[in-house]
Formats: sequence, C-alpha cells, structure tokens
Amino acid sequence: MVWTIVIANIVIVAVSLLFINHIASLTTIRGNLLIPFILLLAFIGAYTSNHHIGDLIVVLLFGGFGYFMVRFGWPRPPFILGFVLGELAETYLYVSTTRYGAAWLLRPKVIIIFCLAVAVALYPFIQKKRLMRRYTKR
Amino acid sequence: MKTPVGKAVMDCFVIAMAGGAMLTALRWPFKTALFPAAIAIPVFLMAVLDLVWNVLGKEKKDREGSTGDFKLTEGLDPAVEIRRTISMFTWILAFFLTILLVGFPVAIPLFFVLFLKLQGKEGWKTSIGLAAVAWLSFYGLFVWLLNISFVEGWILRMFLH
Repeated sequence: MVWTIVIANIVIVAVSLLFINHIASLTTIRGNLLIPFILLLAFIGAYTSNHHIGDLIVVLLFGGFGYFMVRFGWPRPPFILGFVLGELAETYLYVSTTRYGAAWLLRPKVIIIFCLAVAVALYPFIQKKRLMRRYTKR
Repeated sequence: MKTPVGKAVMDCFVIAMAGGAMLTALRWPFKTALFPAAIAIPVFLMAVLDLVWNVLGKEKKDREGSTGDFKLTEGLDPAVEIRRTISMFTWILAFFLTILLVGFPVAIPLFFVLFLKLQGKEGWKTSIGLAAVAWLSFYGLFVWLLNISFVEGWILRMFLH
C-alpha cells in the first residue's frame, strides 16, 4: 500500500515535470474561460464525496464565508488546516483525556510541543517588533 | 466594503458562531463537550480581541504586508467591485439551482453556454465548444468511467417518474 503511494507520487511528479510548461500556461488563460471549469470541479468534487445535494449547499455557504474571510483579512490556511486535522485532533484529545485526565498537559513532550507552537505563533509578532525597533533606532 | 465596520461585522459573526458553539457545548457531558469547547473558547476570545483591535484602529497597521495569502484586486471602483461580486455570486447560485432543477448532465452544458456567452462575451463557437468539452469530460470520466450516479433534478424527476 505504502509503495503504491510512493510509486504513484513518483509517476505524478515525472508527468508534472514533463508538462510543466503547459501547466504554467494555464495562468495566462482568461478568467471567464476558467471560472465555469473551476465551478464545475468544485461542485462535482463536493457532490461525489457523499452523493448528496446537501454537500453543494455546504460548498455555497463555505464559499461565501471564504469570500468574506478574504474580504476582511481573516487568513484561510489555518481554517483549512483546522478542518483537515480537526478529526485527528478530536480523536487524540479524547483518548489522552480519557487515559490521563488533565495530567497529559504536564507531560514533558506535550510541554515542549506546546512551547514550540506558541513560539511559532508569536514569532511573526516578535520579528515585526524587532524590525520596527531597529528601524526607529536608525 | 473593506471598512472597519465591515471587519467588525465579520468579527461579530465569528463571535456569535463561536459563542453559540461554546454555549451549546457547555450543556453537553464533559467528554462530548471537550473538543468543541477547546476550539470554540479560543476562537471566541481571539475574535473578541480582534474586534477590540479593530475598534482601537490597530488592526490595519498590523496586518499590512504580513500575509502571503490570496488578495482581492485593489484600487477598483467600489461600485464596479460590488457589481462584479454580486454578478459572480448570482452565477454560482444559478448553477446550483440549475443542478437542483435539471441535474448535472443538463445543467453543465446549459451553464457553460450561458456563462460564456453572457458573462464572458465569447462567441458561439467557443461557448458551445467548451460546453461540449466540459460535458464530455464530465460524462466520460464520472459517469462512464467511474460509474457515479448523479441526481436527476426535480424537473426531470417529475417528468420521468
């Protein structure tokens, strides 16, 4: 199974490299010609996940929400990451809490990962502050 | 539309969503409420913080140039911007309603021809050609090759059954 994925990835990379110029030229196509195809793929992709028309309504609602997120400066990558990783996070949070209660929060590896996460989240702000301080000194 | 008021409305929407999720989750048993509350409480607090920053006028200064995320075209006349946005939302909604009424196999060529002709101002050849390509790709890949069944649509179902 793992090797199937590995081989599939190698084949895809090879094919992509072969057609990279043609793929790149997609960006020069007028928006009006691309929009219907993108809409079609979005709707079909949503429909084929459960074969239910309700999924198309979800696409419409989240499409609208995504638009307003872009409009008002809310970053979407964290939202998408949350959606993708949410199920895993819920499962393991439940397992950890059931097994250790709140004590899992005090385990060394958890504390290290938590500190790293906080550092990564705060890094852009700290960097900006440092740059601003350096700029004002000059 | 990109005003502090608009941003505040967005903040209020997220606060209401997260607050609603939080209140609902807190009524559930502890283990069931754990994850929803673990997500909703920080989202609620961060949205409140964002709203406060907005009100204090710090938000814009902090975010300028800080993100590599997709951005909308800037410097457009607001009237043109609103007209284009409404137009695109209408097309998307129209495509969805067409799928609902007549099903994918009829909605796809219909939407392609109408969109390319009316919105894209393309010629008949391009419109019909691309509609044919889209329909053949859809039918060939999803119906014929993958054997996926698509909904018939309300109108077709009414006539066929």
